[in-house]
Amino acid sequence: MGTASSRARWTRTALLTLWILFALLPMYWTVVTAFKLPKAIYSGPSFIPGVDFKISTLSWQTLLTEERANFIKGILNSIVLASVSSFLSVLFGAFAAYGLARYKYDYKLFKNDDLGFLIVSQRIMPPIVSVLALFIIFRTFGLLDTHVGMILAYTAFNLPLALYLLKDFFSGIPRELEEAAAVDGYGKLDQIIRVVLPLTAPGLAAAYMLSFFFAWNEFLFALMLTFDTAMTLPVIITSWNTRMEPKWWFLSAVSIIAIIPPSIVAVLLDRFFMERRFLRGTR
Amino acid sequence: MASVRLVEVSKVYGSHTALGDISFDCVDGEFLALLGSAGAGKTSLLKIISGLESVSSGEVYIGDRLVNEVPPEARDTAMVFETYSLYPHFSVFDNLAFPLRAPARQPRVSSDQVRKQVQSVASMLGIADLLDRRPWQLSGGQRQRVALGRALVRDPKVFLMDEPISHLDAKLRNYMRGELKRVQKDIGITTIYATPDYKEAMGMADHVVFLHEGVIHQYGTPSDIFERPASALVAKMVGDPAMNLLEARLSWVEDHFGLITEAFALDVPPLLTPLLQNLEGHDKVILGVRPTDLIPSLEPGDDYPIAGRVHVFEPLGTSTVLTVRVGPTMMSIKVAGELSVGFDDRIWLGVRMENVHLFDARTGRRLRPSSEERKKEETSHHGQSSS
Repeated sequence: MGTASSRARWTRTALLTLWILFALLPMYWTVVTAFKLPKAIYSGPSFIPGVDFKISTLSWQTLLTEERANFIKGILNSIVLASVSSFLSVLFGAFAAYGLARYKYDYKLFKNDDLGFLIVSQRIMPPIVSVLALFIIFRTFGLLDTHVGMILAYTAFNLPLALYLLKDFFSGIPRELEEAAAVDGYGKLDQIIRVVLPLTAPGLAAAYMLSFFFAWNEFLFALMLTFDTAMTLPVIITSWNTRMEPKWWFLSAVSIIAIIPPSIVAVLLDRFFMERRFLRGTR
Repeated sequence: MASVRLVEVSKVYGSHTALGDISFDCVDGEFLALLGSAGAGKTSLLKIISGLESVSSGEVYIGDRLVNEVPPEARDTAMVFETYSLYPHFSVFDNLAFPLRAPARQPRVSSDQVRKQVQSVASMLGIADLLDRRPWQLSGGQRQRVALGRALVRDPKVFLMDEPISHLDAKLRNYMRGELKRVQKDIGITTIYATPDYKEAMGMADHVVFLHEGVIHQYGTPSDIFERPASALVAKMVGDPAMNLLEARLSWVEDHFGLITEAFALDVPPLLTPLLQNLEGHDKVILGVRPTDLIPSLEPGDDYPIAGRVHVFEPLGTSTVLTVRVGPTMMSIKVAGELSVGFDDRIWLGVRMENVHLFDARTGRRLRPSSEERKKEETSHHGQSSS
């Protein structure tokens, strides 16, 4: 109790406030811009609705009338692609992680750790390196601009991430639990579904969430491998941006909506991030 | 309910032989203890019987059925693990119900039936009020009882228990020893129980298999193991304090045998002479004397040929345990009642020679009189391997 600790407290509060402003200001700006008229945007910065500028719903009206078709296509595609590909990445990644954690592989040059690295290393190279090859492959198989093609591409690129996250999770689950389940009458698949997966829920949720975010924000593949049917939100937003002079009020409105689905995913999955205390009761 | 039979089972991990040529019979409904120290192969043996490990050679029979190729989920055994292995994401109720809800279970158990069976097992074990808790909220004793309940709830053919009470405090352990024996008798399920604690093995079992480094040293009733240990290792394990084992050389003095150790010499009474006649080719034996067969005296005398100094004494109420330094070794003595001694007091010990055990120093095996040897060769002793 003295100047030293209250000075520390003041410093903490000041720094935190600065950080919060730094983090939230862009968000605030976007929201506010979505309710401005073009005139207000181009005539210098204004911050407070009602006081600095007149609130208008022009951007929202445009969204729901002229550009509706494009917008709906974009957001639906993004939702479908991101959720399905994340699910597949996590599904295959989890089984791969289980295999690497429980079984001993020995293919001469490749043992467990090597196989893990082989898969994870696919993600090390910048995607642009593989885009041209993918384009040609997709064109050959008629996968260009298809939902299936994009889901395949996203699954392949997010699976290493899922595997990387889940590898340690699975090795952390004691083998005795599966043995107990085996003696209790459960076959291998049932052991995994009933005993192992519930205990790896935090890892699965994290892997799904991150895969979803990556797929949601992914731009390069969507740009190169789609041109109409399967276009996702990032590409459509950019095309608006280039097609006409930047309609900031409109783009802000779209951006706000674009944040919502990933936020919903994060909120829904939050309940799975339980503490590790779960495993205490086994010993 | 079924018998268990192992025929020449061995288990090899790479270059390490965990179990070698194990054969024994466990009769339907009996309580069989696997006694051995850590690393003896008890857990490996249990895992082989339950199906969690495969055999490298040999056959395993449950009932009359050869189960070598049968996976653990189909063997209808139940196992209580040393570390309990309760499912942490399930409540106690769900832990107990888990075996009954197995998808492969024929016939399907209705949820009413499940609830009834779980309730009855829980009441029997005194955990009925814990059904909503999670494993991490339970004490060690409670977890152990849930593990036991999970094994009991499905009425399996064989019960396998791997040191289930070794992680409990001493008082609870003593209590559970009696409780487990009682439960087993009431339910009558064939039980195979692994433990390093000879008190559990002797107190609970109908028969005991003594295992050391993957090999059976002795198969017998608890009193067989205690009265006639088949090897020095068995003798050392059974008894608290452990039996005193000393190397001794046989000599012939006038008209009787003598045993000469590093620190003292004893006369061998005629009673024991037949045992020593079978010693082939050498004269080294291991002399085994129980702490209770030594008589202490604070004065020297002919009846007290062993001289030593008191190293430590432990007054335990009804008895006193002394550790005495005799020459280069330590010997333990246990006497009833109190004995007042001081540190480093000189003390002399007498031996009740009629209770002494003798082992061949080279093989470690118990020395038998010739008549018994011949009888042993004629009849094939069931359950004993490579002894």
